[in-house]
Amino acid sequence: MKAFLVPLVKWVSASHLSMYLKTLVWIWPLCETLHFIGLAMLVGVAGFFDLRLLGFWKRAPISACKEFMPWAMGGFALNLASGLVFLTMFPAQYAYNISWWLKMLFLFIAGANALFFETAMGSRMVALKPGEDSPVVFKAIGAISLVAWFFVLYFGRMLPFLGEAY
Amino acid sequence: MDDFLLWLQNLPVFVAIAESPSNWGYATVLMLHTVGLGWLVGLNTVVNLRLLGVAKRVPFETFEELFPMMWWGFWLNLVTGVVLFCLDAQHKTHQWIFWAKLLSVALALVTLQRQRNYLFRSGEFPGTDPVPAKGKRYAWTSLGLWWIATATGRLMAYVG
Repeated sequence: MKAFLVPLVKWVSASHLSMYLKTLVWIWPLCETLHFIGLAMLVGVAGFFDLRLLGFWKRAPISACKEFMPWAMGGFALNLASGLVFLTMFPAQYAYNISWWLKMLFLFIAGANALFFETAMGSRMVALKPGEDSPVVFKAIGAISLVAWFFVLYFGRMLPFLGEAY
Repeated sequence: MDDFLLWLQNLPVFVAIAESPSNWGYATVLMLHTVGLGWLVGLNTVVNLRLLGVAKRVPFETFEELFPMMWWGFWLNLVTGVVLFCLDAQHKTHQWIFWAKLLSVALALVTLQRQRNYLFRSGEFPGTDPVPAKGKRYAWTSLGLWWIATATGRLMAYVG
């Protein structure tokens, strides 16, 4: 793994884009700020929907609550963009950091879980009436999502402590 | 004043948290502060988005039980925030951006409470669409103040 990573990290780090970004003193604080604003939007909207899947606020139809989800995607897009800036500027502090790989793992779990809900559960969601209890599979998806997002945030915030990112 | 702040940050409990090599010390307090931020600001954002016309099929009464949950995030951040302050009291007191953050958080919380009163206690809000201009104003004010609070909080690591 490391044999593959080392040349890639060196290449990204020495790239024109990386060198240029490193000359902009304001870009890192700006992207950190955007990363946290995006985080709140993503975690808040996804958390609201996950709690609905778990059986909270049953009066609101699940399909209606799902209409918030493009805003979670918006938060994610903001974080993907700002995260790519971090990665391009200093790839070594992520590529060799166990915390970053664990963050990516839980990001994958959260994404796969959401994709499963989107592709396999659509008809069951529409059939569910307001006030009706969520099926067990919905509760499981909501719980997995909440736990996965918690660990994305956990390992993201622990980057400087479990590894050596700043 | 500085003597008191130094005394505070040199209390054994705060020195232990600040200097502990364990990830259960400073790192965990900081991580929990981010969890509280995501919870409080994120859930308030959902209400604000609804007031601004997103997900119109979600009835407003849904959010009545959301407001107490937002306060869990606040209490978590009050506790973790006080600890984070005490670890570095002298430096933070002299950071203008720290005071800007506290002011914006305070204003955002006042807005949160007024928004809640407007929606569920005043009898002023119709409870259905279209949302009156006052409701939209609350939403934009809340979003703006939370963005400023988040930005100033994050920039404490770089500015002032």
